[in-house]
Amino acid sequence: MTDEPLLEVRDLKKHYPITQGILKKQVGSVKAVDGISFDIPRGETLGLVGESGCGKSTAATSIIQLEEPTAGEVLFNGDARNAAETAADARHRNDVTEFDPEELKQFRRQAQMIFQDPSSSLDPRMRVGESIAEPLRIHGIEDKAARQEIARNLLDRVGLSRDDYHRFPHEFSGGQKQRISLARALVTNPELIVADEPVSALDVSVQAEILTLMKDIQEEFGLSILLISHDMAVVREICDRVAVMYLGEIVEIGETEELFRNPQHPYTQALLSSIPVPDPTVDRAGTTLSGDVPSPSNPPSGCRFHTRCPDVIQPEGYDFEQEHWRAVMDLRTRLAQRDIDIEAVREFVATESDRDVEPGAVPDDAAKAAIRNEFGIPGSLQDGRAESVLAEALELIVNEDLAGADELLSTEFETVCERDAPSLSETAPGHQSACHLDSTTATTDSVESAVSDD
Amino acid sequence: MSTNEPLLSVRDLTTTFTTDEGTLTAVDGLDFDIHEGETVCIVGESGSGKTVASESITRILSMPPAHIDGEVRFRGQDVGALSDGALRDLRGGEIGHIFQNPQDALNHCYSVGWQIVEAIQFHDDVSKAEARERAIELLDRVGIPEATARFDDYPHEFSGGMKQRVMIAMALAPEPDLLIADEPTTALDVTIQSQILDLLEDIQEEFGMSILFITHDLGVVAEVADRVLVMYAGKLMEEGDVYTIFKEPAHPYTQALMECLPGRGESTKGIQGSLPDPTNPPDGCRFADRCPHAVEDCKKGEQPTLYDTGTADHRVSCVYYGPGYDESRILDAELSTGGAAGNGGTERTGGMNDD
Repeated sequence: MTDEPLLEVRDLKKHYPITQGILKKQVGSVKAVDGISFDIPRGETLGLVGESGCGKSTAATSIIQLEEPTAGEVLFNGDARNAAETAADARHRNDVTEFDPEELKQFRRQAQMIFQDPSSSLDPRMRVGESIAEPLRIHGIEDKAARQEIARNLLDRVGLSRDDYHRFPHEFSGGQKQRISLARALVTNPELIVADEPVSALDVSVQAEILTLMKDIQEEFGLSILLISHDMAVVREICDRVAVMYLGEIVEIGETEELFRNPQHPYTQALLSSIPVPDPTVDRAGTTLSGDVPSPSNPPSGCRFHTRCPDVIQPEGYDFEQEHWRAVMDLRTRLAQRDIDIEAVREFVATESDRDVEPGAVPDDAAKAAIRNEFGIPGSLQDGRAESVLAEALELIVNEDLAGADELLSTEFETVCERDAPSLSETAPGHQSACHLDSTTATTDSVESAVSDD
Repeated sequence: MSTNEPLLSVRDLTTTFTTDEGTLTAVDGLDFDIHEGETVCIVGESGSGKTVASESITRILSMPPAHIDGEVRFRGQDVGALSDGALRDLRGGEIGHIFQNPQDALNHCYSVGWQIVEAIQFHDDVSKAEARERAIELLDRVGIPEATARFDDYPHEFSGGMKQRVMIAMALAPEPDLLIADEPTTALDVTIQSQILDLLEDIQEEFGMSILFITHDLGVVAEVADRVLVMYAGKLMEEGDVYTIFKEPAHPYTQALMECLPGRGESTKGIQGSLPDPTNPPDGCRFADRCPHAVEDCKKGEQPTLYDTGTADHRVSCVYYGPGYDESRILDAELSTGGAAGNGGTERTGGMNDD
């Protein structure tokens, strides 16, 4: 066995085309996974977490080749493929995305998947023992008695009875069905298991049992596991390392305890502080994120999180209260989508006021105040220069020149977060985060640590 | 109305369903009160009967196959004796409902504004223009940006979190005294969940209503509840103040539930076995088969009555708290495994202390 990781994912991308018309002309693409890279060493569990729509499941199916990735390499060093060299045609011999059908079949024996809903991933008309043994038949074990024996042993190993072989899936509870799925994944003696939300459909009392079983089995079989989950607590329970995804990109990756103790990326911080703590004496300090996750078909420029980030960096030369700067950024985001309807604002002001006012007769100042109020921008910003820019923009908005207002604010209040996409940089050994805030602090930190090391 | 009289009082609520396999008892003799301005959480796993209990209050179950026994009093009025018309006025009037899946609860064919206007006009005799004004105010109140512009949008144009906000706006329309929220954040991402929980807290303060919150998530319970009811297999196992429940969980089931929580920094323990058959529940305590402390008496007769634990307003349905037993056996066992609540507090800062 060598030191090289079992699985190396390099700049993996999966884009789905958006087509239009009868000719299916491609008019855009949904960038579900947009350039992620990570390694999974042998015997290690990596957790991939994120909210719904961040691309974590697509990442899983693309790695295991259930879907063809758009770009990138997936290097699988299992199955005695250690230290393979680059082939003559410049492709890596271990690159799963370039495998021919025969190699792929071999790979699928080595890498198995478990899905979220055990009821829909088991054939209701097949006895569970046959479901478990089926991969053996596919991979060429002709002896029926031998197949049965292996399946029975596995049933026993995952905490069911050997006699359950002849029963049907509907006779089992959700947790038991997930045990059967686990047995079926183990039957080909794989080196990698990709588990997509394996416990999120289960009750918490059953969840705990399955997680414990997964941990035991990993130790016993020396498996590497890629665990996809939205539940930070589940990830913390069984993962050695965690990668946090947002809109198709990995924003932070690190050792589980280090990442939970010392989250670097503002998104990770927000995600962690959103989890309700099962202790009534603890008040969730809650950085509540503004807005919803943007569409992956048109992700924000620069850092994709800048449209929601509470710590978004202020433009050079201005001095805002951070909270007010966030509010101005929210206004900018909405302006960029041309999603402000000044007539609706006037109507809203007219509705709110006690006197009967026609929406058309609502004074500009009242409409501007309503906009400030909606976004939580104070009546006057503390920085006089920023205030005059904002006032000018609001004037344009009430005169229905959204494009003009958007352009003015974009040029005046441009932040590094929207200009440049941050890359993953190391904040501590083995802990990387993709944030402009880190890259500035990281340099000073590494200088300090270099000094103290000497 | 005196403050001592509860807003909602439920006595011996029993809901059964007639099925091909026999009579299924989903809720079996449930007693509880909700006072004004209070948030009561029913917590339990799937099959515990928590949702059926909440739906039995306003009788939104289809009957048959459901059959509801027992007494539900809202402001002293017997809900079971109400006519269909009066019952309809109560639902979505003084008692509002929000559900787990907002996409199933909204009509796809009408704009969200129209649906809220309908809810307002159903209970209040107001003009269309007035109802529209109120609907826009409500949408704005629940945090829909640009409420006026979004008024005419259809449900599919909203995200999941936004749809749940619309549902809340609709439930708030008639200014209910009691809001029944059945897993309102379970289908949402954690960051959106925290937005919705904050919103519910704010509007509860503003409108002064009571909330009956149904959830399986102990984290959410700790955050929103004043009082907690723990249900298992149709029976109430334990009830008490939220601080008491998390600090001194008294029932072995509640204790086991706390130990199931992942990510506490110590290994989780599942609960062996499975729920008893709801068509043929066992004698004695429903949890006895899975309980580590079970003795002979646990498997005889009826579910134990709710005994006082000695802490104020804390009752538990377990023989160990009754005469002839020593409850310290259960409480000490709890301590030796390290109470869940104590560790929960250190979760975020990282309380890893194994090895």
